Amino acid sequence: MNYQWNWGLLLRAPYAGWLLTGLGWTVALSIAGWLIALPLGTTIGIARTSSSRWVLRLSGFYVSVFRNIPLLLQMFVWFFVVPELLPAKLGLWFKRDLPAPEFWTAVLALGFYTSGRLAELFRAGLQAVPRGQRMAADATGMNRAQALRYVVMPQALRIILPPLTSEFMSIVKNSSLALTIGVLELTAQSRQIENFTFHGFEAFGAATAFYVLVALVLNLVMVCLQRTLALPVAV
Amino acid sequence: MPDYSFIVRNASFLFDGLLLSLTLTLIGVIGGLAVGTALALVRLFTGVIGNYAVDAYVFVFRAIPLILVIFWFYFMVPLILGRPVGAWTSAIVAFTLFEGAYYSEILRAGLKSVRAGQLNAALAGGMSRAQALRYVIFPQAFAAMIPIFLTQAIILFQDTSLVFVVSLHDFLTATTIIANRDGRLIEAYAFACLVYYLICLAATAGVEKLKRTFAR
Amino acid sequence: MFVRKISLLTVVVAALLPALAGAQEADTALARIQQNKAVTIGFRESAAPFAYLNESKQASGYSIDICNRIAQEIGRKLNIPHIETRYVPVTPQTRIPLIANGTVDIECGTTVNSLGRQEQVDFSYAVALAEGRLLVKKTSGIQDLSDLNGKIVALAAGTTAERYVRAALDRNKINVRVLQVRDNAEGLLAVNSQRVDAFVNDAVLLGGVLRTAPNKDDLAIVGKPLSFEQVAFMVGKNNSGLLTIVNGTIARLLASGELHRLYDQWITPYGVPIEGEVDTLFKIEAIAE
Repeated sequence: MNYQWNWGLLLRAPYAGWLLTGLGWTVALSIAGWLIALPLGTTIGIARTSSSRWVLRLSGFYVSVFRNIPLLLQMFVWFFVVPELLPAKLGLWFKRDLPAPEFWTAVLALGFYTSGRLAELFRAGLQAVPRGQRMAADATGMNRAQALRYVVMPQALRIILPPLTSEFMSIVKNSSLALTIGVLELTAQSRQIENFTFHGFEAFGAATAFYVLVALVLNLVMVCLQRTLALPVAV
Repeated sequence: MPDYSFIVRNASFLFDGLLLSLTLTLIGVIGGLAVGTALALVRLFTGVIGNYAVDAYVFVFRAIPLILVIFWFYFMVPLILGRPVGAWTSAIVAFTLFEGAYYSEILRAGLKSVRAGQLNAALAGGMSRAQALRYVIFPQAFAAMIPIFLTQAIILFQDTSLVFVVSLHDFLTATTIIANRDGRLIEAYAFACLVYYLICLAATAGVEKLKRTFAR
Repeated sequence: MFVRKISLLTVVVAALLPALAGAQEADTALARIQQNKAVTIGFRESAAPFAYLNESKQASGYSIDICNRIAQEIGRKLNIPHIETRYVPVTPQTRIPLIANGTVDIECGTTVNSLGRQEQVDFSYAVALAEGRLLVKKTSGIQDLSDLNGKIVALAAGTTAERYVRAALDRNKINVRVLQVRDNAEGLLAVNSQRVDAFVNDAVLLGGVLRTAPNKDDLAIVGKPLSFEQVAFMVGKNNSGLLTIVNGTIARLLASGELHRLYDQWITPYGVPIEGEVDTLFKIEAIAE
């Protein structure tokens, strides 16, 4: 094995900057994707508990499409296929004129993929809230929307908080797939450093450390949130 | 005009890709189960240090993206073995160790789901700890875990598409190669979506059926 | 709890690292070849005409033909009759690590020699020259680098193109946005789908892309060469024995004229014949016995 170790290189310009911008893109991808996934996932999740047959079928199909196709393939579809199916002008705008088209394409792919997973999570959470809660809300004269908003959803959210956190961790990890369509996020930057310096071990080590750090921070945030939101009585 | 004839012409190339994806999934499940079981046993039979070591292993593997794991092992495996190995071997090692972290968590949850009273009853009945685990706890835990194992296997099948980044010819990579060569991206990716969708849908339906069988 | 986990991790990592560094032995590749009775050649799957997967999914191309002759020569030198040749696909991202970690004995693709890379690997004599040029749509009207201001350019990830293009753009104060693509096929796709205005790469590689493009009449390779670089084979560091055989084979193939024949067969049809700098290079490298 002919390999020269040089950990100091990671702190040198421009590589330190590359890693940090990479981390920045990873965070941006994750948050932007999450902002699409959360409202979509919540809506579809509620639809999954609907009593209407058609709403159930449609939302079920939505979830099964986004969950049964690998994210990498979904990313390729958003990047290579969708712009070609749009009207020519819009497609061109999507490919070129949008600031950072690769980034937004990846955000869409991440957002829709994650929304399918969140929908299942919300469905499970909503169904886990005891029926009596909904009935009690009915009895106090709330309509269904009010019951959902003020009684069922707050409890469901508390139930799914831990898996919701791990879904956010998943989106952070999944954002690495954006490198296949040219977004220079953390994993891509570490590979770029490896390519320029041929010090792959140091570069991948740094990326690993950043991901572990992000996971640790997320874990702490979740623990704090759980404490803050905990109800005086057990749900 | 959509033209799907190139898929028929390249059917054997695509099929080889699909076969590679499925083989990698199978190896990942078996290897991951083995590693996961080993980790669970370390947790059960060693003290604090062993527990922390397993915790750290699981935490790190669950914190970093699979792509990064694949890159790591692509370089590390030949280094550790001290002889040249191809992308295939490295991918197997990466998937096995990566899945091991997830399977060990599933195992732990499954073992926890068996009530403590069962263990106490077995011990009181004169069984050793190992016997109690072997004959009382594991069979029950295993039955509870099988659907989760299979669901994880479906996720793994989808994840095998990531070997794309080390130019192993799985189904997605094979699709991409012929898509680029024939300039038929839309049709090729539509076809790939359909294949993945149908396989995963069928597998999920199978797992659901199994779940109902076990729930009886 | 997390603090404890992390400190434990640090200890584990710190304990592992020195073990990985290992000792530096000389000529490990030759020892490996002797032991396996096989030469492992790293090749590119879509870098025609240097190295690519042909219709029957086998490695072929200019670099592959030369390396097969090198493998035979290694077999003769090591007294291994019927030496086996194994092929491992590599990408621009994986070729350097695969050489460094010994997965691949010789990389036979289109790798450009650079001082930075020489820190981790050694290079053979050059077998061709790389000239960076632009692949564009004819309708775009782009003729040279100066026409690219405000445009979007595709560069293949992990190649030296990125560095010389950036340098040339800075020199001429041209402002472009860069899209990284994975390989030549994707670069062509980016041009065709109007995602980018030009794809910058080595002229021979672009010629290869152009030949197989379904719409080759709409495309053109334009611009003055942005750079001259040596295309060479890579071997691991501290493998002077292997490198001597590799270079000796190249020199003999040049002296006998066989390399010229291979070049004319593979490279000349792509629009870069043996003249000018290439001709001089081949004369200089035909070192006498």
